Amino acid sequence: MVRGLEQPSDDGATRIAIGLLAATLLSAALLGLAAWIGEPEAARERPHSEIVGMRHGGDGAALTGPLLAIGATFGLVQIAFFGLCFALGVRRREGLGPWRRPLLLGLAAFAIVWLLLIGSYVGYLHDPAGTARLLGFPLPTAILLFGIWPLPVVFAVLYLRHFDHVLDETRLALFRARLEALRAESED
Amino acid sequence: MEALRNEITLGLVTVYLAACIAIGFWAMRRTRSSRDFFVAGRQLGTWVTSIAIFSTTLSGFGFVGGPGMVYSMGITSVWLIVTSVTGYVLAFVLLAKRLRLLSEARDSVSLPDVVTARYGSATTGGLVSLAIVLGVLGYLATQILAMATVLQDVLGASVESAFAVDRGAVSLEVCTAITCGVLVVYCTTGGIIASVYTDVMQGAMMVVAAVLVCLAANAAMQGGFPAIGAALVADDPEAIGPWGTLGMLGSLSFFSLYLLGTAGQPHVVTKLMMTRHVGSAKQILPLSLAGYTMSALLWVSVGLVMRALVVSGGHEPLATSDMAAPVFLQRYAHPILAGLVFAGLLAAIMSTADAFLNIGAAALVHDLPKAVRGRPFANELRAARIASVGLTLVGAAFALYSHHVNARMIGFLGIFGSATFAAALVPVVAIGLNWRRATPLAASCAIVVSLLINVGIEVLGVRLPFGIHGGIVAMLFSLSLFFGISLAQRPPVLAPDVEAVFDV
Repeated sequence: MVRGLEQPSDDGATRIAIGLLAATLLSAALLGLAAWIGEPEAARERPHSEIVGMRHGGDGAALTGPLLAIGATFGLVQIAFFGLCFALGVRRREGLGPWRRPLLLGLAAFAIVWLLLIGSYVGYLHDPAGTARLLGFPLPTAILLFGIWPLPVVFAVLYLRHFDHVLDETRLALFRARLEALRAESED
Repeated sequence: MEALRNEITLGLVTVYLAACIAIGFWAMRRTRSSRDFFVAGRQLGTWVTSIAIFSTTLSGFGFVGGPGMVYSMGITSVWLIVTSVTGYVLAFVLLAKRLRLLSEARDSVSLPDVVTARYGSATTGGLVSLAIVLGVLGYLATQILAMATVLQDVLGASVESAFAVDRGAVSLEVCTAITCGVLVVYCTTGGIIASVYTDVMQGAMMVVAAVLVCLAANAAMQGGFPAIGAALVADDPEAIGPWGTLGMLGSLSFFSLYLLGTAGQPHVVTKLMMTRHVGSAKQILPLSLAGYTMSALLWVSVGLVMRALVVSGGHEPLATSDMAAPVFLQRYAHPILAGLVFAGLLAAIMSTADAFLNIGAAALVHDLPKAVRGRPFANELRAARIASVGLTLVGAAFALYSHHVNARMIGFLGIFGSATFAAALVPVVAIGLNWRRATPLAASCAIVVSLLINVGIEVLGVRLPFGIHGGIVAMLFSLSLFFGISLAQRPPVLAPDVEAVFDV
């Protein structure tokens, strides 16, 4: 190890890390706020009244109703956290390069599907039997299964499309050459 | 054919397990060094790695614990798989390149090796080993309990039909002992090579089988999924709502834990160290995603249909929720499909248990001794095999304790394991390999605090409000400390080869 050697700074990554710290603290604050509001004992999940080994969801409106805004915000913060981590992984010292716009669009799509789920759940809370169904699943559950589950395809396609920016063959060759030089140096 | 159901199942399971053992012995001939034992000589191809990655994730946790959790809690546990898929993408983005290149630069055979190199700190590497051993025990117990549960069902049915004795004559303890015996032979012979090639065999089959099981689930209840949905809404709207019985914040804690936490699962990310070419990540990601998504259909469909059948009176209540998958296969799937899935389940459990034993053994005989006394054991391969036996026995004891004393579901044991990994390793590995400013002190503090919170909540049996999982609390604390301490300290000076990895 070469101690004391001046190494180039990477302020972009540090800015992302500060964003990640803010998202972490905000997530913790939201969970703390929910705990402070308190869980209504009578409404919370419990064992099923007739079937051993099965749980019952309790009174959804009383349990989840007061938490909807907190939960919706928590979800958005997690999406932002995901986006920041993604940016940290794909960026180079020079910046995000071709990733900036598609990544923002992908995150916007994620947030929109998330808000659709929350919006449809508001209706479901008040009228579960009357809520529209898709393949038997209530609309908010269908959005989870058929909207949020396939979403990673968007990010996987982005990863494939811009893979050359993630792993540049020229940089890889330089890395291997540098590694060889370091090994030769340490042998000497 | 229906009359021969038990014989078909038992026959296919026997053939399959024999094939697994054969793979173990074949792999033994290819395992000549600890490098072969731990990272398959870093020679895995694209298809093998792709299948191994997704099938190691599902295993007993996914194929037995998952349907059990859906049966018990409705949609809640579906968040695990839905967000794990996104978590896979993040794991690749954060780790596929840097983890592979750093392990190449230092010829690392384990995750703690890589962490020690990244931070230049044997203490941090040792703490990662400790976190791995604790998480491995949770996950290993999951696999052992899942395999014993499946064996109990398969052997119980056969004993009942052949000898006209009650199926309860085959106890869980006997099945746990059989499980441990098979695991020890399999794992100590073949190491990680046996695990990945068994994964290839069972993973490829489970993709097809899961789709067929999903169709069988649709056919198990008259009216298919629309009728299943209607029965579940009529019984408990929350169970089939988007949060399941645990509620919104409980489900969202899984959302967060698995969205970020997949990048901290050592049995998944160490596969990225084993590839022949770093560039193969480009093909491995989509193949793994597709395989995982298709296999996970079994998790969702079997749990939902069994819950709907029971609440609508079409099936008697299950003795335990973990019986959802075995009972469905015995009663509602075609005998050959049931036999193949049972066999695949056992193979999946064996290969995943092998992967966990492998990383646990690496932590015990390679990483911890290096952290404590500066060097690993002299005969590492032999020590690893002995450590595998010890870990199996401790895992079995933990499994039986959790089942009998804590009445824990298989799925929740698995969640304890993955939460332990996620909270301890996401900051240190996933973020630390992408952010130069992360310091050894921050990494060590994050690991220690996450372990104290996770294990403390588990041991003390703390119940958090709204079903919030303790793992997310541990992860938020560890992330805050990791970022906060790193930002407060002077930027570290990295070793030149580590700096070179950051520059690629």
